[in-house]
Order: sequence, then structure tokens, then C-alpha cells
Amino acid sequence: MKHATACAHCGLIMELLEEDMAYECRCARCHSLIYRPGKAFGFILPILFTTIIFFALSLSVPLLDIRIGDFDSKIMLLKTMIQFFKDGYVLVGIVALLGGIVIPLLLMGLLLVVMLSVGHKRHSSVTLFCFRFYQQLREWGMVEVYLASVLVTIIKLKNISILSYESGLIFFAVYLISFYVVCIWFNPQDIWNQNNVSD
Amino acid sequence: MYLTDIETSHTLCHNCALLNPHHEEVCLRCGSEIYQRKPYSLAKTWVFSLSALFFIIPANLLPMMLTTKFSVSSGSTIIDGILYFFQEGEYGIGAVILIASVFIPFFKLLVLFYLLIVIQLKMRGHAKIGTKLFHIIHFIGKWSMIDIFVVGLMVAAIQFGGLLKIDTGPAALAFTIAVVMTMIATLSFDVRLLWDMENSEFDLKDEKEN
Repeated sequence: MKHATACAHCGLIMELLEEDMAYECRCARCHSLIYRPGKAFGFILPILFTTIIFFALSLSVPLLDIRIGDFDSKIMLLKTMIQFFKDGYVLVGIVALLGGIVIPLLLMGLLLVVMLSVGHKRHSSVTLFCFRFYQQLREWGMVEVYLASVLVTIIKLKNISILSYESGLIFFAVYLISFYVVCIWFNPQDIWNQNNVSD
Repeated sequence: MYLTDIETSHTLCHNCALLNPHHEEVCLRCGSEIYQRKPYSLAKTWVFSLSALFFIIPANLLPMMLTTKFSVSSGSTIIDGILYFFQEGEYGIGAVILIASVFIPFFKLLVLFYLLIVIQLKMRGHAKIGTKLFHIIHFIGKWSMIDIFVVGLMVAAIQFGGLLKIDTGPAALAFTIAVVMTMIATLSFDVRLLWDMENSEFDLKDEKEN
């Protein structure tokens, strides 16, 4: 069986064979990625649940404890975003809050709805809305950038303070790794490609 | 021979990858709004790229962080932050910040203007390299936000009253706007426009040969 599609980057019409869909396919003209096989949703769902749990944990406990002399301060995920609002930089705060917390949270929720509903063999309007919303939002998640900035901050602060690593940092790292795995393993086209699902 | 979506009168859905008949405005499978080429792609990319260029200048000149030590305030720009890491011997992190906060925003803008000029001047033979550069800027775009998150973390961490206090500097706003503008510019750009020019070149060659 053949699936006709086009390259999203050069417009070339291509036909993918059913047996080819077990492998990564690239455009014959511009070599952009056309299709990447994903893992079964039943396999991704437990990891997604883990991601959500670790995200909640990393939000609720501090990442770092900083001590300078008699002064002590704790860094929490949400506190850093709120600080921009306190300083009067509302726009910066909104972008940071959206990229670091709100959008990743939305992405996880949308993925959960999509994968659970596909398991029930139904493509309701809610599922399709969640799918479209996920596709639009996924460019804007910035969690991995946030983790890199935590590492930069640690190096910056270690020279001027006594730093202790709190459990939140481990929760945050686990959350990020599991979220990354979910994003790699989830192929949006599998909603329709899975043989046991009817449109 | 290469056949494209325009030549076969089809429209690709960017969300579910279904090839729809050209007359459809909404994807038959997932219900997404579909279009053969992104509407007003060039105009939008020009506007957002120029806006980003406008904001990237104050983002690099104004202070990113304001440090108050024993009630004496001083500001530090992005470059000051990078120099700090190099002076402390942290070359790796210094290089990461230099690449993410200085090189990436300018590189993105440079690529976007190159792609826009190639299409506006109808310069052929740039589609392959243009697509590769587009993939690169699409991938690295959000990493420029690293400096903004570092500022947020530093400001949240260092609030020790009159002894030591860090506040957000005005460059944070300009920098955030510049990064968001370049991200929107990249998303607005339709890279297929580069290949459409190559297709028209083949058509011209075919017509001459006939």
C-alpha cells in the first residue's frame, strides 16, 4: 500500500510504501525529514505519566540553596519566572513563564489527551483540536534551554557563594530527560498510521 | 522528474502530512487550516526580521543585570557577562553564552536576510544551501533565551538586601523581544519558495528546449 505525501520543505510529491514506514524517510530532492517512525503509544504513556509527576515535583521543591555569609536563599522554578514580574518586566516574565512552565505543561496535557483517546479508537473533535494545538505549540517549549541556564547559573554562583544542590534539581533533570524521550518517540502521524485505529 | 504539490494541484497539511486536493481550505483528516504556501510569508518575515534587528542593538548595549553591592549599583551587559567567564577561566561556559547570546541571534538574522534577498531578487541555485541554513536557524533559535533564564535565576537567587542584590536590566526586555521576533520570523518563512524558483527555472529550460 502506498501513502502519497509531499515534502514540507521543498514541495516534492513522494509516495511512501507501507513497509518503508518502519524507517526514517528523507526527501529525494532537499533531504529534509519526511517521516520518522515513532514508538507505540502504550509504550510512551507510562513515560509521559513519569514526566508529569517529575514536573510537579520539580515545581514544588527548590533546585538550589545559596548561602553568602549569614544570608540564605533558595532557587525555585516558579520563583525565577515571578521575579521578572516583581522587577516590572512583565513581557519578559510572560515569555519566560510560557516557555519554561506553561507551554511544556500544556504539551504534556495535550499529548495525554491525544494518546489516551487514540487508545479508545476514536478521533473526536476534542482529540483533533488537542492534536492541532500540540503541533502549533511544540516549537515554543524551552525547558531544555532552562536546564542549560541552571547549569550556567551554578557555575556563575559557585565563585561567590556556597551552593547546595537540592532534590528539585534531580527531579527537574529527570523530568527533562523523560519529556525529551516522549517528544522523540511520539510521532504525530501515528495517530492515523496505527493499524488498529479508524478515522 | 520532480513533481511538486503546486504542479499536481495538491496542498500538504503541515500538521498530519495528508496531501489534500488544492481546492480544500481545511485538511480533510485533521481539520487544520491548509495553504499551498504560507500566506504573506515574505512580508511577515521581513517585518519580524527587521523588528528583531531593531531590538538586538539595545539588547547588546544596555545592561542585562543591575548589581547592587553595599548600596552601590553597577550594570553588566551581555558582553560583560561573557568576559567574566573568560576572566574566571570558565572558557566552556563563556563560549556557550557567547554563541547563544551573541552569535546565534546575529547568525539567525543574517540567514533570514540572505533567504529573503535570494527570493526577492529571484536568485536561483540557492535552494539547497538555503534549506540547510533554514533547518539550522530553526533548530538553534530558542537557545538564545538561555541568557534571559540565567538573569531570572540570578535575580531570584541574589536578593540579600543592602549587602548584595541583583535586578533585571533593560536589555532583558530588548533581548527577549529580539529572540521572539526572530523565532516568529523563522516560523513565518516558507522555505518552499526557494524551491519554487528552481522549479520555474526547469520550466524555462524545458520551454527553450521545446
